[in-house]
Amino acid sequence: MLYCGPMADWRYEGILCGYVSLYRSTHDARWLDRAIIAAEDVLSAQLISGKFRNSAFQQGPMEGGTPHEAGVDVGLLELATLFREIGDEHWQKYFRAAELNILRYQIGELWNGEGFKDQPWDPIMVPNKNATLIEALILYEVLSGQDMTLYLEKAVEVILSAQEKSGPRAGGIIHRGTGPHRLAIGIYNARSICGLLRAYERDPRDEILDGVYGSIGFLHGLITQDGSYFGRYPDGSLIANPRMIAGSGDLLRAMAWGLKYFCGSEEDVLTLINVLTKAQLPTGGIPTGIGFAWRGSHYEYQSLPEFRDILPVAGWCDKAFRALALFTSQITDGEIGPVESECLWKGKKYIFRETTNEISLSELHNKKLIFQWKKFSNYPTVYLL
Amino acid sequence: MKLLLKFESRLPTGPLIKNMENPYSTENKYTLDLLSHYVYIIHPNRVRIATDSVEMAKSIARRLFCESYELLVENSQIQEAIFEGLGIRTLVRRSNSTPADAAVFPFSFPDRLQPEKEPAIIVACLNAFSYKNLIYPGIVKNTVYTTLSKLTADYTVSSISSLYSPQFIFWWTLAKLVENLNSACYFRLEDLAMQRIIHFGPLWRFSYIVVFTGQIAS
Repeated sequence: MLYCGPMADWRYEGILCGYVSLYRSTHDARWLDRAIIAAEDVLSAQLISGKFRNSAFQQGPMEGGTPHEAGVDVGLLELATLFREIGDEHWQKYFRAAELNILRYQIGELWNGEGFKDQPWDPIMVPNKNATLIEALILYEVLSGQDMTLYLEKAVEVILSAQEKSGPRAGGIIHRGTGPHRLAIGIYNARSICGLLRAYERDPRDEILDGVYGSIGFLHGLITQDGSYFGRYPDGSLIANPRMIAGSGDLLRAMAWGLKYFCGSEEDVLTLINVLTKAQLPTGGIPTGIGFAWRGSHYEYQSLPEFRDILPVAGWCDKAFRALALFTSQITDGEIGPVESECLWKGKKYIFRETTNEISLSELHNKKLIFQWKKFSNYPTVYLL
Repeated sequence: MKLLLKFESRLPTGPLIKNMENPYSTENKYTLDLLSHYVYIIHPNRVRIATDSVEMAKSIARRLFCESYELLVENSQIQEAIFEGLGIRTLVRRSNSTPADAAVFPFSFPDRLQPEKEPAIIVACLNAFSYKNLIYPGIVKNTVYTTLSKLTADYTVSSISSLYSPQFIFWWTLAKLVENLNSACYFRLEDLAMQRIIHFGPLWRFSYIVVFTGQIAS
């Protein structure tokens, strides 16, 4: 939270796809206008290399983020697809930007013949990152007419080979980037499911649908009324904290899509919709989760939210937005208001405030600020976290 | 000692760049974020990126690009690399030109570069009085006091913060102790450590990376 400036990362996947969904269901031009603004943000962030400026939030401001740039490509290509359908020639501009990234970076630097690496210097092939690429490549294939079978088959194999076929995490897809801990993480299983479903719709092979079915079964065990558990350890025990809230949008999307193929349940879909809508703050943001104070613990955290819980973050809220947009056919303007709430940070109580102008964290009694970020600025004015 | 070595081996390295010049490592990326935050607070118009490392300069340029600063770099090789790689225009600093409003020194002061009368400086330096010299005796030559002493004649230190303080090392060492025994404990302890990666208290004296800001004495 030191760098608060713009990043062309996976938030644009949810933002662009959400606007596209809203336009498709409402035909209201304002959603197309907003999509164009977002797409132009991304285009202005594209470098000569084809990568996007500051796309990597794990490594800090840096280009070449994964799966962030693939997510950006998905957003651009969904918009390009819509524009082409409505006969607007601007589709080519967004298509070309995604194509440049796919050909120069994703295939040019990350493809290793067996799948897509995490980074040019990091050979690990992460299933959910390959899943995002599957979605981007299929969208690209349809618009370009270029056959992406070679890459798609291998990317599918990366996901399916990481899936546990039996045991206490049967169906769970292991995040290979978690090293010896071999975590099966809910939100990343959800993203893997969406990649598999996109691949299945292109090439309906039983093994792909079996993989989806297994992973949806794994996800079912993580869904609660307050959010989705983070995942499970190799022995099947719960990673109960944090329970993801905004990021559960990806679970919602996966579960809803899976229903088309009789995988999963309507009850889980409704629970996830309720999780997101119930948690929404008066500012319109959705908290990131609950339980960051007990990160990694088996036992559900039940106390006051921590700062990281309550803080709404663009790169998680976009998942909620994208998923909820799939269920929306009518939008009414709502009122937004400020948030003021007690929370914890390093075991001490503070006041969290969000207004249209800023986000801050101050001491309870003397109101001393330990964090203040004025919205639209690139750094906090106070950082004493 | 073995535990501390284990801690070292787990630090991500990023692209294959010599260790202290690797701006993508966990060690350095938080440092660069902190440096950039301090630049922001000063509200300069012109900022000197005082490093002869291309990758360091690029990493700082990435963080400062979003502000409308005029960025000055040390040589044309860095200027070219930043423009070609990031599309960011910078100017090459000339020794007889007006000083920038602020200068950022990512591990380059005092051994490689010096302030040139910039009104404000933000410095990241290594400190020999830290866990690092316990593991690799002698690897860090200067203590933070040595570095500070090279400054005080022209500048007044206005703030000091640090990374990898004894507090962080304590929690991280505990995390490494249990890493192979219990993943849940490991992630909990790792989180407690990472919450303390930046330290604003008096333990800067024994922290591995110290970040201080200075203002020119009038």
